[in-house]
Amino acid sequence: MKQYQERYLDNLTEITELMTLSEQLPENTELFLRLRQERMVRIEELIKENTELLRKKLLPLIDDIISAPEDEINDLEEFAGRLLSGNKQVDLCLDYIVRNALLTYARKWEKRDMLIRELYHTGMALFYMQDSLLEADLSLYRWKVSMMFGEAASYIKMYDEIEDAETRGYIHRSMANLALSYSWAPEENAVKKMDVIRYSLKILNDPAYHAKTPSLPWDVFVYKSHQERMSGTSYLRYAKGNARPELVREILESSQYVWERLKEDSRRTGKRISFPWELRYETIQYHCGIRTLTYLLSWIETRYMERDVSSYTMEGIESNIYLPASYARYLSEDDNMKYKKREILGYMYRMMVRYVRDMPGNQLDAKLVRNLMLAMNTFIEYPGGVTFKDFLKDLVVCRNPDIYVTLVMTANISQMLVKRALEQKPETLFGVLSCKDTAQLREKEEELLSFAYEGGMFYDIGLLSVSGLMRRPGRSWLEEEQRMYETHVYAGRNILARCESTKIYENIAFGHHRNYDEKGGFPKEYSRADKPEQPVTDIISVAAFLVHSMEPAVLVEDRNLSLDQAVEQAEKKAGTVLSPAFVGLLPDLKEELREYLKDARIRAYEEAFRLLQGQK
Amino acid sequence: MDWSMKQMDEIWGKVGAPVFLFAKRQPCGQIYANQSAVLLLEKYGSCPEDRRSLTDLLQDPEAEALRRGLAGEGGDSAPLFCHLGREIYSAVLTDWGEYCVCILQDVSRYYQDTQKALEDAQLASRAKTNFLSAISHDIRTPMNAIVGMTGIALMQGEMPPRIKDCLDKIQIASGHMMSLLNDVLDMSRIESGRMLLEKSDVDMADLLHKILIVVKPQAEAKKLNFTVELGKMDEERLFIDDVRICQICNNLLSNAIKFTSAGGNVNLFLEVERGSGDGEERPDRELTLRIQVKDNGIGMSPDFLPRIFQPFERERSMTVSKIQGTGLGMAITQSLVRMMEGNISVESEVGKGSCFSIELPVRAAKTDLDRYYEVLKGRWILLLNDDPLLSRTLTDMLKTLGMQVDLASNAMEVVYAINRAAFSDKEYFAFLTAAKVADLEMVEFLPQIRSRMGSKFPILMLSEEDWSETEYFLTKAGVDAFIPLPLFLSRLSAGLYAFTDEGKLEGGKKDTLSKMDFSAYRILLVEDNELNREIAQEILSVTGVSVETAENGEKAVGCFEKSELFHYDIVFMDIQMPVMNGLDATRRIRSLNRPDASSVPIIAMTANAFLEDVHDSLEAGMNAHLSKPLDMEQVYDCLKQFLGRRNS
Repeated sequence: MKQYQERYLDNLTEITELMTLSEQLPENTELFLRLRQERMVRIEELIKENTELLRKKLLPLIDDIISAPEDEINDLEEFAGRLLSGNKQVDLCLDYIVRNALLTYARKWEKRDMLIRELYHTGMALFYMQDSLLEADLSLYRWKVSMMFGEAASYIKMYDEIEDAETRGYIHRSMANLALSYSWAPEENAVKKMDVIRYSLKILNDPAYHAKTPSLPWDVFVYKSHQERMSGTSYLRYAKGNARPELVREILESSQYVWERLKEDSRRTGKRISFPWELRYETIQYHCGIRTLTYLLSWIETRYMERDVSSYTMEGIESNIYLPASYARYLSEDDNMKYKKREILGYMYRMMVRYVRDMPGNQLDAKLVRNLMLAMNTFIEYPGGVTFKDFLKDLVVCRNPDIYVTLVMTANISQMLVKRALEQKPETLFGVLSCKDTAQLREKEEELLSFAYEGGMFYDIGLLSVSGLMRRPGRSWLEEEQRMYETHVYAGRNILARCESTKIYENIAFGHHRNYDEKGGFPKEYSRADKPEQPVTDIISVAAFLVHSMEPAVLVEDRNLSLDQAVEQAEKKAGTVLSPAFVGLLPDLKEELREYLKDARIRAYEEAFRLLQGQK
Repeated sequence: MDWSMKQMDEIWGKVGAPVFLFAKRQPCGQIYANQSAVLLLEKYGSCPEDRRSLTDLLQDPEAEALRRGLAGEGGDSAPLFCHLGREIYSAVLTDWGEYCVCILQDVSRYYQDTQKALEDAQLASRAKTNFLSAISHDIRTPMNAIVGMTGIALMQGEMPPRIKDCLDKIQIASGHMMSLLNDVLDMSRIESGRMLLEKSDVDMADLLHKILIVVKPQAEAKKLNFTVELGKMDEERLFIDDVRICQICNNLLSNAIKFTSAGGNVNLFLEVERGSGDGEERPDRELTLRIQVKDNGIGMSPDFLPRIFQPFERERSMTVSKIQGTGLGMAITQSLVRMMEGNISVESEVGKGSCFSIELPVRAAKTDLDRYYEVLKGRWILLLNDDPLLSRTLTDMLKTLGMQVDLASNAMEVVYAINRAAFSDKEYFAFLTAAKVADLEMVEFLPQIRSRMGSKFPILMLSEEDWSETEYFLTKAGVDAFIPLPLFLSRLSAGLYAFTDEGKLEGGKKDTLSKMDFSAYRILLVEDNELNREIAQEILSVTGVSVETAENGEKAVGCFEKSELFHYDIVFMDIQMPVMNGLDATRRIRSLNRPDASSVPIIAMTANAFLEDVHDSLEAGMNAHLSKPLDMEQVYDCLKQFLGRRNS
């Protein structure tokens, strides 16, 4: 690799270390913030350096990729390999840009082996980019994933002309990975996925190919394909008893194949089969009609009762969080069961809350966060039980303290704006909470303030789905990142729409980035019409704008301005980006804001740390 | 009751006028004539030998001509005339019990006077028409000059707004006057029998296109919802006078547009169905062309409807009187329809709108469909369309051509189909896509298809008629040809055929990148790398454009400063350069105090950039980005985008 590439990667490593909270949460928050500020200064330096390295060295090379010398190309491939290695995402979007450039080079100079390789790697980068959009439920990259793997796989027709074993391996891997492109929107694509896997297995099991390339790990390829076919449960769930018999047979075959292998590994190593694989096996038995739902739920309950509540290993986290999340998923398939088992699931949720709160250390463990997100995806809200709202507020949102702090500050400033609007311009709030006049607004003042506060807490919840982007990725953003970032409003809307307790905030999450004049911002399909909560969305947009303008550069939107400068910027945007009615309240509110901001960030971090330490 | 001769004589004998009595029962015939009648018969001894019935006499052709002239096509209510020698008698027939009484009255003088009046009127009308026609020719010549010169003046570029406003108004008014003159000319030609139909083989698609390029802008200008609907198209190529049919449609549509308020609907329906409609089987009437124009405009009153096809007739109402028109359009339309042996009818209701329906007997012309079928049959086509109705129509048409179709409704299905084909022996001949598919950016998707399928793989796009606005971007994205909507089998088949080997041999692949002449333009190329500079110069020189170069930003600013006004038409600027970079150079150029400094397009030569870099370059004053090294297509597209409008 070139020196600048090594330097870039080293800088990224340093930035990650600087941004990571220590295992023990700080006792002195003021000191923490001071140290954080110093770290931010260093991070800014590194970001600037990285951006310059790319701008001066990498991007010009990519611009002229076709005339790049071979050694540059080799270094570039190595560099890209470090940016995304396996599923370790060091700099995903940059990897995609570099791989795309290498693809262009390979096509131009008709370097077939390189083309196949780069198609595979570009497909993988796109796969991870698409995967980050799961909550948003958008398909920005799905067809591109399919295109990349499909083209690489199509070189199976020229197998005999290709001598290099590794390249042949990429063909097989691409063929198998084609199934990945049908992983999302499973209902539509389930059958296609099965077709692709079947075709891939046919080739992978063909002794003729084994003989041609004996050095390839055929056994691993076959095993992984069977594993992928086990995810056909989504098809079975979609088909609801009307699944095609041949597909059911295939899924059963694959689950048995994998299960036997897992049992063998377990016997050999003495380790228990991991819970997710156990669960997958059992759910396939259920979906294929061998077991009933009652049996499956009982099985999950039995495993749940076997859990170790004090274990925070992978297994511990899975049995305390992933297990209830799966239980909820299967309950939601049957209304009758959902009702019958409400006490059990309610109990599981209460235990989950306790488990998370009791976790030692800073509770920012990546495994924990991933499993909490899974639990969030399948959450069922019962009257009198843990509400989704509380689940999000107390357990989920605090997992990213930087985001949490901006949310709390936005929520508080939104409340201030609502109070001021009630005093000075109540007519601007007509329609919210069905209030038609000032008298009704005053009657519901507490409710209104609470609505504004919680709206402020949840409006950016979609950022959790792209939180990897929200922390500065170690350089200035590229256009692709902006595109992915904009999907967070869809994710926020989808998360909040799930349950009654949060449904009222979904439009706030969806529309807070849409310009007031509807001529800019995102998403384009958001319309202000027929949204009685629009005034609160406008208020939250103003509050969020202020908060991010004043934040030191931790998150991408932050600008590190003073309060006066932030208000001035807001006034420039009144009427276009921001609502003039509520921006107009800011000058009067300045002193109150100044007072609040004296220690607002400190208090917000303290609140986040308390939650992370399991305190309410 | 049977009357005796004596009784009859008593009743009718004293009547001064000639009276004949005829028996109604067999044997029919004259049984009585009074004295005057006998004298009449004697006077005109050329009484028919067999004394045939008076009705025979009344069928004298001359009388018929007079009846037609005086009473039009009044039929039974028209007066009857009987010519006896030089005298003309008007016959009154009436029942009288078992008999029919015929009383003759001498109307010779009256008849002659009336006939003369008719001849005088016809003469006067022809004279008027000829006069108008002659005057029209004399007026048209200078009018052509006014219209032409006004057009040239408007093309001259920047001018004071007041002058442009005046020229626009002159253009509108003179255009209106020309259409009035044309109407008068047409009417005179029709009346004098000088208008002849010139039939030829015409594609319905071309006919519709000619109608739409005139009518669509009118509808859009008035913000009307204009739709075209196609019915059955048993044949798409007809032997017709397309100019006159266009005239008919344009007349009807212009009226519909004129008399419909903004936001209203105007619909054109076309259909070609086998069968003549009247049950007759004739080679020249094997098909019926149906045209219907419907609107929800102001409508017409029941009083006016019978007169609508009269020349110079316009409804007397406040609304109509404000709308300009000669009142000849409908008369011309009806005359043309009659010339084509068709019929026209109208239904209308005040406030609800009108519907004009025309049926014309036509015959089919030879088509190339058989030839296309032979070449296209069996080939696979991949179709992307998320409109179920259009998809069905398309699939049926493609199957008519013998083609095999894979239908996709989104990007994933397209890619799935391509992947599947790659693993089998299936080879797609072409990709046919809608212009818009939900949740898919075509300008992003098509280049991927192009990369995957290769540069020779045909990509065709279904599009509305006015795709010219987006043609640049879509062609750059990979579209080789456009198939216009509404969909005609002839267009679709010709479009696909053009990409076969046979089609290419015949006509050559249509070059959708129209090569324009850029030799009048001058580029300033700012690039520090010598090799890149040479490559760029070579590519640019092929376009005919003159190229001047500068090695860095500072030299570029210097060149620009020293140059004459508007010396450079476009600047291609590298970003990363020694001495002065592209952004700074752009800012310097934009800040120069000369009119071309702000207007000259400056194109950055780099494609990969951070968000803030894109933002910076736009802030600096750049207009667009090109990726290096430059290639021919890119350069042409860029020149076309920034210079093309001026060139055209």
